[in-house]
Amino acid sequence: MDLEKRLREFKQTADQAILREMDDTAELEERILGKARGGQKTAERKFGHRSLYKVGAAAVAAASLLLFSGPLFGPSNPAPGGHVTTGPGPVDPVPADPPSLPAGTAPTPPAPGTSPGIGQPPGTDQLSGPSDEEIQNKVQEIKEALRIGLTQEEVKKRIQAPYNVVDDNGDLENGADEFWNISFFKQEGYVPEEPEYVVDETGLKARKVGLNLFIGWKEKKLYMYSIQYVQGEKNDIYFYMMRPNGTVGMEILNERPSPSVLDLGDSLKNAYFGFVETKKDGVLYGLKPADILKLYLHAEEEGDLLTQYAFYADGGDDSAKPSLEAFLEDVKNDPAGAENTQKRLADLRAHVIGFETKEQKPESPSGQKSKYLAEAIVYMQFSDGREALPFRLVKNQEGVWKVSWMPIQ
Amino acid sequence: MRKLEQANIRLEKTKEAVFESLVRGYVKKILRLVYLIVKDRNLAEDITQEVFLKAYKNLSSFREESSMQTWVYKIAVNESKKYLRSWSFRHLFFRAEVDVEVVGDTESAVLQSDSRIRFARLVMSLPPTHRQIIVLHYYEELSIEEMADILDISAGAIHTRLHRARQKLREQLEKEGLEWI
Repeated sequence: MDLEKRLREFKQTADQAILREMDDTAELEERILGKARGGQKTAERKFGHRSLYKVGAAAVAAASLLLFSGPLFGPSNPAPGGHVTTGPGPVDPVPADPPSLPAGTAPTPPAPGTSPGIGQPPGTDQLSGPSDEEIQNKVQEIKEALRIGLTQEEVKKRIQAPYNVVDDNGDLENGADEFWNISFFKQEGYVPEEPEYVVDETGLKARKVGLNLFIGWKEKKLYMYSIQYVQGEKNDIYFYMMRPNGTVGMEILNERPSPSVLDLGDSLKNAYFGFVETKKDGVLYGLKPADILKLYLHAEEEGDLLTQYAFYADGGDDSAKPSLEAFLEDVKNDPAGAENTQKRLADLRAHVIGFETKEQKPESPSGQKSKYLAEAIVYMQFSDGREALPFRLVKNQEGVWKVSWMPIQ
Repeated sequence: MRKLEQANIRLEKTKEAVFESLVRGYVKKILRLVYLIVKDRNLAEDITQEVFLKAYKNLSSFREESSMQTWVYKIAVNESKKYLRSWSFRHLFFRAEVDVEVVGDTESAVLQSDSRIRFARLVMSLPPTHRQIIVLHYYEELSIEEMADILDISAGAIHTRLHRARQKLREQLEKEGLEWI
């Protein structure tokens, strides 16, 4: 059969088959039009605030003392070497190549420009403190502005707010050699009880401070950071962390995580830590495909990339698998991907309610023997009725189930 | 001053109208194009939304040096690429299989047994760079010059990429034993 002819028929087949349910786009059109209009308002407000700072920074800073701490915020007895920047203002987004926003969050919702940084003037509605939306917008702005590897000068330019240099007394032991703390939406005169390198749960819970940004530096370059902020009627404390390897984590500190079928029982925990320690497949011998899936997702949640990589099957049908170095580099350079991964994992944790495993003979190109003994698809079933999500594993020559490269099919 | 404000409002209205007609006219096309590249409906919708928000933001800089279609396609291809590059997408979700079955009583009987379905499935299983070039040329029916404009590469490079994509398809056909379908 003529390949060219087949290709010319592709359009018709695609329309009839692949794209058959894509005719009704009315809802999407309305969504886009609505978002575009909202986005325009946002941009105008941002611009308005920036102008205000330019023309009257001093007046603005004085007025802000009514509610928010001025330049000398933070503990009354700042750590030695403590330093405060000038020029309070909003967080500047990354000027070049901003990250793709995760699915469904596209334009920033209205009002990020109204979220006050330190020294910003309180508006009428700010007398009762910042709204959840304002805090959330500030979180988003910070995430967009910060990247692993930025210099201190670059960060100061992007986050124009006063910072405190924090002395951790060597307690943190996380590889960073310098720490900064930046508070947003902080009440005037508020001094946290805890040292600045400890999450200020009391202050956040009481909304005496809305958001703390804690940055770890290594050799004057951004090494890791966390954002702690308050949200909701119950004043939940959210803890978001960008790890040095580029993965992100998120948890609500005052809430025990809901039980999930992805939780590891004691025996799986033992297997997990054994594998973390040794990376030897033998530790996983006898585990079922669904067990390996749980362990793999756990490594991903933990941001343990070396362990995650070790769960992948070697070569063979998975020849697209990159080297470990390329894998690590990929993650480090893709904050948007890390963000998406964290969201998807949280979704799986919240909604997967069971597994169904189907084993089959390994797929192989015709006439060739697969290097795997078997192949399994674990279907993750969801509480909200969506279609089961297949996850592929293969059994290697040692009889151990390993994760197929790009496992979700 | 008042006149200037009024002129701005008129300009804004014109922009709104142009954007609305752009959305009404191209959303379906862009959604389909993006879907054929990323193979996930939800993701395709999100990317399509991004494409139009970008277009809206840059509408005033559109200089009609290319057609509106080429301009929007260019944004769509670039936005799709971002996702294809995305670490989580590549590591987790890249193997998404597309459901290539035909709905419809009369045609399904004919087409489901038709080798065209198997061929379409094969096209959709191509690596993204190959699939993208096939989709632009054979699905969107764009000329070599238009593709060169959209992908920002020379016409010669388009020819090379098309050749490679066809070659890959041939290999896949042989591998699957479908060379005579």
